[in-house]
Parts: sequence; C-alpha cells; structure tokens
Amino acid sequence: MMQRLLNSRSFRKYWKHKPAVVSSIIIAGYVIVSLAIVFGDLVTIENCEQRVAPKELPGFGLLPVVSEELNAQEEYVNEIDRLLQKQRKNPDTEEKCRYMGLEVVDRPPEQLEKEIEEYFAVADQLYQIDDIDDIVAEGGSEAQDILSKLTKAREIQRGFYTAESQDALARKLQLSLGTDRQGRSIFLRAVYSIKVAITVGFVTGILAVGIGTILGLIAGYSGGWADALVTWLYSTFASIPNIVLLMVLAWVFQGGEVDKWLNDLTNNYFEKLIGGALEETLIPVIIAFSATYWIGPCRIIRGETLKLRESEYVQAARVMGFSRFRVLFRHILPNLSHLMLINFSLLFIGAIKSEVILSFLGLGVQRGASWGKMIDASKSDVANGMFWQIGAATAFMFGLVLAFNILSDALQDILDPKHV
Amino acid sequence: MSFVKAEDLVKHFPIRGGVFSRIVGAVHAVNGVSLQIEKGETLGVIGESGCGKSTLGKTIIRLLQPTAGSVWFDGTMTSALSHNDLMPFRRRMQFIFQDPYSSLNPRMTASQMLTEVIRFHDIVPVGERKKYVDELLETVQLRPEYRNRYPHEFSGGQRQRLNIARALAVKPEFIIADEPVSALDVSVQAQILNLLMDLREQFGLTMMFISHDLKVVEHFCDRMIVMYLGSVMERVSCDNIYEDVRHPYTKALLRSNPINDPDEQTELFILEGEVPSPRDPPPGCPFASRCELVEDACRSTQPELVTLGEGQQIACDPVVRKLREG
Repeated sequence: MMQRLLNSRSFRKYWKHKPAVVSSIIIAGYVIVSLAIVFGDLVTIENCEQRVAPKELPGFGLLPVVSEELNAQEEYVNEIDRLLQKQRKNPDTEEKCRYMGLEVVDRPPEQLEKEIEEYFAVADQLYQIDDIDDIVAEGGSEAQDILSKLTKAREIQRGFYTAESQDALARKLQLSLGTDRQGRSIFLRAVYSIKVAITVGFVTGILAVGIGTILGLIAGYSGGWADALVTWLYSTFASIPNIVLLMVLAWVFQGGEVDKWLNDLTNNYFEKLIGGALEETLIPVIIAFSATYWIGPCRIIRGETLKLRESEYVQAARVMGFSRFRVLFRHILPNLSHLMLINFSLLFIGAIKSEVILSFLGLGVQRGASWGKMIDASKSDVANGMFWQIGAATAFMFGLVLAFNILSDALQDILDPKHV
Repeated sequence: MSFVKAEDLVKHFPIRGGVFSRIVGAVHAVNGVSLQIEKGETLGVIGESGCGKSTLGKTIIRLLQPTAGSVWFDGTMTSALSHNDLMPFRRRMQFIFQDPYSSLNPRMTASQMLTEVIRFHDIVPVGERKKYVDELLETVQLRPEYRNRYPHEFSGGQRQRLNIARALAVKPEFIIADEPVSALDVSVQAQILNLLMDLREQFGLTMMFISHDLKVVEHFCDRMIVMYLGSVMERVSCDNIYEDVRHPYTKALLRSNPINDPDEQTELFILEGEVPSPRDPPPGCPFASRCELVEDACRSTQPELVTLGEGQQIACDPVVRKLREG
C-alpha cells in the first residue's frame, strides 16, 4: 500500500514540486505544535494569560533603552520587596516569594533585604539623572559610568531568581518576542494561537467540504426535487453573513441554557467532551463557519457531478447494472477527489483568516489567545512604535497561510490527471 | 420471434423553461421506430448527426427510459422491467461507446475496471478472475502486461480495445456498438472493425452497429436501417446497396460518398437545406424540405413504411408509386 503510494504518479509529481514539499513541512510543523498543545499541554491557557515579565518589553532582539530597563527592574524589585514585607508580617505563612512566574531564591529574609538595599543604592543614582537615554546615546565617559552602574544593578536584580526555577532557554524564548501591556509573553500567546487556528481551519474545512460534497453529489446525481431542494438550501444559506450568524449563536449560547440542556440530554458527557461552557469554546465559531462555508464546495461538486453523470464511463457503469451507490462512490467520487482536496485547502485558509477578523471584532475566541485577539490588542500599540505584538501575530499567520496557499496551488496541478 | 425487437419506440426529451421549469416542449429524438434483429445477425443503423441513432441504441439498452413503445429481448419485454429485474439482462446485452477517451474511468486501471465488472456479475470463480482478465485482454489483442495501466497510458485504439474487453467481460449475447470507430484514425478503424468481426464470429454475437459511415456499415452489417430526424426512412439488405436503395435520402447519402476510382467521375452531390429542428418536426415527411422528389402531399402526410421486396422497406410515397406504376 505504502509502496504503491510512493510509486504513484501523483506522489512523484508532488515530490518534484519543491515549494509544495517545503510548504507541507511547514504545515506539518504547525500541526505538530498544535497537537502538542492539545494533548501535551505544551502551552496552556494559563501560560498565555500569565504575567511573565514587565509590560511592553520589546521583542525581536530589540534592547530596551536604559530608562525602560530601569523601570522594568524597579517594578520587579519593588514587587519582591512588597512580598518580603508581607512575609515579615505573617512569618508563619509558607508562601513563597513568587513573582512573574519566577521563584525568588530561597534565602534568609535579612539577606534578601540587604540585597534589595544594595540594588536601590546603585539604582537611585541612575534614577536621579534626567534624560539618561540622551546621555547614553551621546557616549563619552559619563555614558560609560551609567552603563557600568546599570550592569551592576542588572546583576543584583538577576540574582533574585535562580536559573533552576526556569529553564534559561525557555525563559529566553518566552521573552524573545517581547510582552504585551499586561506583561504576558507574546511568544506564548502566538504559539497558543496556532492551536486555535489549526482547530478552526481543520474542523471547518472537513465539515464544510463533507457537507458540501454529500449534498452536491445527491443534488447533481439525482436531479429533480433533491436538486431543487439543495439549490434552494445553498441559495438561502449564502444570504446569511457569517458574522451575523455568529452573533446569533453567541446570543443563543449565552448564559449556559444550551449547555444545561445538552448535559441533561447526554448525562453530563457533553461537558466533559468539550471541556467547558459552549460560549467559551471554539464551537460557535466552527458552527458559524461550517454553516456558511459548505456552499462553495457544494456548488462545485454539484456542477461537476452533473457533468460526470452524463460522461460515457458513468453511462458504461450504468449499462453494467451497477447500483446508484456504486456508481456514485466508485466512479464519480474518485474523479471529484481533487476538487475536494483543493476546496479543503482553500477553506482552511479562509477559516483561519475569518477567525482572525472575527476575533479582532471581539466575536471569535472568547478565552485564551488568538492571532486576531493579539492584533486587536495591538491597535494602539503600533502608533507608539510597539510593533512586536502585531508583528508576531501576523508573522505566525503569514507562515501558515502562505504555506497552505502554495500547497493548494500545487495540489491543483498535481491532482489534475491532464497536467503532466 | 426475433431476438431483439423494438416496437414503435418513441423517445422525447422534455424542454423546460420559464420561472417554474414547466415543460414547454420536447426534442423528438426517436419517433416511432420499429426494428427486429435475428440471432447472430448484425443490423446497421445509419444517419447523419442528430438523427437519433445513438438515442435509439441507448433506449434499447435501457440507459434511457422510452417515452412510448416497447423493447423485447429474447421474448421478454425489457422496457418495462425494474432495475433489479433487469439485472439478468444486463449481462446479456452490452454497449460499446463512441469516444474511447471519455468512456473509461480515468482513475481505474485496466484490471480494476475489468475485475469490478467480473466480480459484480460473478462471471468466473474468485480464483480464476486474474486469469480471466488476462484472457480478455488477449482476446482484444492487448498485452496482459498492460493490466495495471491507467487509461491515459493507452492510445485511442488501445482504449477502444479496452472498451470492447469490458463489454465482452460479462459474456454478452447482444452488443450495441455506438460509432465505435468514428473517433479513431482510419488505419486504427480498420483494425478495430476487423477485431469486432472476429469477435462476432468467435462468440456468435448479435449486434446493432450505429454509424454515419455508409462504407463501414456496408462492410460490417447484414441489414441496415436508415434514419432521418428520428424516423426510419428505409430498411435494406447490405448485400448490394448500390443497386437496391430506393429512398432519395439514402441515395443522397450514397452519392455524397467519395468514390476511390479516378476514372469513374461523378458530379459532386451536396444535399441542400437544413435538417428541420427535432424540437418542432414537420407534419409530413421529415425529409420533405431537402428532397428532390418532393410533392405537395409529402409536406402534409407522413409516409408509411412500405415493403418492396425481400427485407426491403421504404417510407417514400412518390418512389413507391413510381415503382408500382412500373
């Protein structure tokens, strides 16, 4: 079976098409990451909602200017100081000094206090300098002095947390794309969004192409009233904008009435299955997309079935006395498979892009992160020069959408029997 | 009793129009055709494009449901049978399609295609299927090594051989060949025709051969019927058609054939005028608008088929009258 696949004409054509191979590797990477998120808890919702560092930390390898770094350090040390005071008041509580996901080194409070004092002794000197950024930018001995003090302050600050409390590489990755206004890691949020995008893309794609193919086949092959019904159905559905449908669904799922009804119906199995309230999952988004997206494939499959039904090889199959079912599934469907695949890849991209737009409008993903939410959140940031949030979201999305576009384009050629 | 018989077969295709897709008319593809084919005999059906000869074939094999009239096969009226009751007859009659390029499923190899048919009709025991497929391929002079090839890997002639193999796979008694060679090169045409003649003899097949090529029909068939606009114009034996034919339309067909003898110069003959629309056929003789012998009566009354001599029938009142007057 495997051998036959590898030797088939289509596979050889695919292998020759290098952009398609590269694209599929990229897509496979995205899929593996999303599987790791779903089944391996690579990144959880908590991870991407958690504050990991000072807010608005620049990413993409940019270094913060001196004043910004000082602010971030101060915020961090102040917080440790606050936790220390709290611990002093209630010495009995075993509450660890945890802050921003990092565990403060286990050391006697007296020593910690001394170190904090030490930090402020250095840092206060720097705080007093006005327009510190300009001085550093000009260079000279004064700048050298500032930078050496800054280094010292940074070392003390870094000493507050251990390397063991978190993998240094993971930490670096986490901050590699900076943080947003709440100090959440943009990298983690962008990675978590892969799962959202892949889920919405795949489920919508499969549902829409599945529904479209079945209805299109029935309509095209039987004709008559079945054809009229399906044509009427898709004309009707085509007139519903999916944003409006989504608003209606959001309203229907609100308040958990539907959840309650479904849970009663399925003996609470439903809640376990989707893991939460309906309105917080991706289900409304997927229903809204599938309900409107099946129209495209249905039209195409219906038209092609109408054509193939009259083709001589289908007539030959009918002369043999083959049943309607056999003619449809052995002689018509295989000759439509390329259309199904191409439609799937187009819908996959369409669903991801629409999800981004809906989330941007606040209608899409309600809990967790998504590229659309990130772009939405960075609306005002871009004007202030903080591009990294929108940059990360669009870069992740661009990679996936471009790879899928190239692949679907290539599939069109590969699966066309007449294309050499 | 004839082996295959059609009685007053009519096939109309409804034309729908308007907002509510009401039936506004019909294409009169086949208009009351009767024919008999004896066992072992080959009947040629000839006519120009659009005269309903393919529709006639498809209605006889029950690819199309007749509008009126009946089809009898070996004493059973097949035109009224249900899908399931028709099944035993499906393996006894087969159809060879015109276009070898579109009549093979592009996603099935030669052996898959043949095996599907053999398995479905349970022609040979499971263990002998592979051998039977090879035999079939050899019967149509294809190499058994080609069994795993897809249709696009065959040439036009090879595809048509594969089509014939598929029709033969169920061991049929009656085959309708719908212009089986018209899509092929002339050299390949001869090969396929010879193959069909060999197979006809080998398996004792009864055949209905649809064509627009008078030479091919003369060469291949025992008798022929000439169709024009869904009606039979003339029935004649193929033994000596140049002498026997009487109908002006058949004569026109004969004269439009080029003669491969430079000494025998004849005037080029071209039929004037257009074929009337099958959507709105004329009330009288369908050929009246182009006929050289046309009389006023031809335009209003449809001529009946009149038996002239041995196996010959003709639907032309002026010719019949002339013959009777001597």
